[in-house]
Amino acid sequence: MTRGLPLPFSVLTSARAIERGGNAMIYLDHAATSYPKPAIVGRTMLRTMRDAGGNPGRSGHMLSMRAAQTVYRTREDAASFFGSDAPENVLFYPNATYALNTVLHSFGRGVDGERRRHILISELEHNAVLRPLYHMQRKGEIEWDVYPVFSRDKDGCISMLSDEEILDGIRRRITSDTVLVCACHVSNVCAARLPLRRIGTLCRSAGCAFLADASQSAGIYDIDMEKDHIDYLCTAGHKALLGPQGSGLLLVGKQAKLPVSLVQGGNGVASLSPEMPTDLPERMEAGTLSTPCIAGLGAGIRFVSDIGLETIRANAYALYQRLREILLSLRGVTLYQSQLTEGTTLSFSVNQKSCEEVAQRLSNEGICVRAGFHCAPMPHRAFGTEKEGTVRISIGWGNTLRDADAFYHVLRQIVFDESCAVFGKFTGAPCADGKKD
Amino acid sequence: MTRTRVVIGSVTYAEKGKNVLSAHRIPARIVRLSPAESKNGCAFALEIVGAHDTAMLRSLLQKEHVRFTDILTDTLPML
Repeated sequence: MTRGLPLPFSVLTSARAIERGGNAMIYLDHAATSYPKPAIVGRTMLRTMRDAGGNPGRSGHMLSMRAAQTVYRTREDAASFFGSDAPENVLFYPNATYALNTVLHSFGRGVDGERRRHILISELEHNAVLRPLYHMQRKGEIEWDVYPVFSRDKDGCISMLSDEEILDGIRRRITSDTVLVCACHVSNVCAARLPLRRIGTLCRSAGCAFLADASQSAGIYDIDMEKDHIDYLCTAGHKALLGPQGSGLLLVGKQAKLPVSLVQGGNGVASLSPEMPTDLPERMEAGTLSTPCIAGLGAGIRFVSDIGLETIRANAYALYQRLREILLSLRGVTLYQSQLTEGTTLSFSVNQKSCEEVAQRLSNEGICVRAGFHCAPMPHRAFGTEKEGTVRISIGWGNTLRDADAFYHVLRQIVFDESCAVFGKFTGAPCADGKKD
Repeated sequence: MTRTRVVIGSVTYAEKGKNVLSAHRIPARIVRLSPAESKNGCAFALEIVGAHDTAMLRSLLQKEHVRFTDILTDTLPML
């Protein structure tokens, strides 16, 4: 199975070799968080703590000023990366969940005098969106509805709706009370991806705000705040943007209504006023920012920019296709959404084995994957895996085709043990979703 | 010696304004304002040494969406 790496991945390969330092571990859990981080991320964080260790925006001494400069540079880099010319509209949060909650709760409180209270979300959403919505609905603040992404045929096979069908589902659910439409750009369970620009265009014409959750896509796919008509872009900083854990972003569009901060407090601005400042970003950022994390995120964004999204995608797709072939080739393995040929995340299950057991056996062989429900119940309900969950493999910048081959050998052993011990032989023709039994 | 100070509430806009001025070859540094000068407590200023056309500065910063509250010009005592 081992083949040479597709070029031009020499940058990735050499970086990976340095980072892994001969460690035999294979990390395929990038949808949870990327690992390893580029060395420059760690170095930048250390340098920031040493040379810019003051509190940004609080004092006039050099350490505080350098910290403020460091924070602002990352605002500029993030804005530029996502097609915005407003660095002041880049807000830092500890993670994407915090950013998403900030936007959703703003609408629950009637942002900027808004009276509409209906929110529309996709079938791909993470609990970072679902749980705040449940909470707000219980308090009577909002109503919400889900637009479909998957369809199930009479044989039980799941397939993804076409872009047109997804858009039609949104159109049919928008009411005069709809204030916000959310789109999880890329699922964290499978390779499903939503047509961000077309949804943004639809929202703009319908007069609804558009919230994009790019936690799984930022650093892999091109995202442009202006061209995609995004009002609020939320993303983790520690996934494909390669920043440290503790970094997350909210970018606010220039035409968007200003969100309301979940917390209030000091930020070095207008200290005698009892209220938060009115302008972004200080309007939304209370308390001391994590300058080292923000600096690390900036380094990650610049690293990704230097490699280029096209190269990152080409590497990911080559691996995805190899892993997809592997999973489809093994009897006893069910690959969910197997018709999707491009992506970074695959979910599968092994007959008569719990997903946790499969993940543990992979872990015993040095392969890191995630089992369970991945904090996203709706895709699992669509796949019929809401009781068992799935094993998820997710690809990142440092993975190579050799990782896929190593995964194949270990998984084959797990499936072989299973087939010998329990069934002897697997039978059954695969359906369109790759199910074989 | 004359000094011009652009009063700005937040350090973010101060950084933005500094970059805007720098792009127009106007060197500026960010300083904290004294409590007497910052009307609501804690504010920054872009300090530019020398006399500058305040109308030009105002126009430049507004065009680049840098939010500021005032432009002050004063003369520093000779040492």
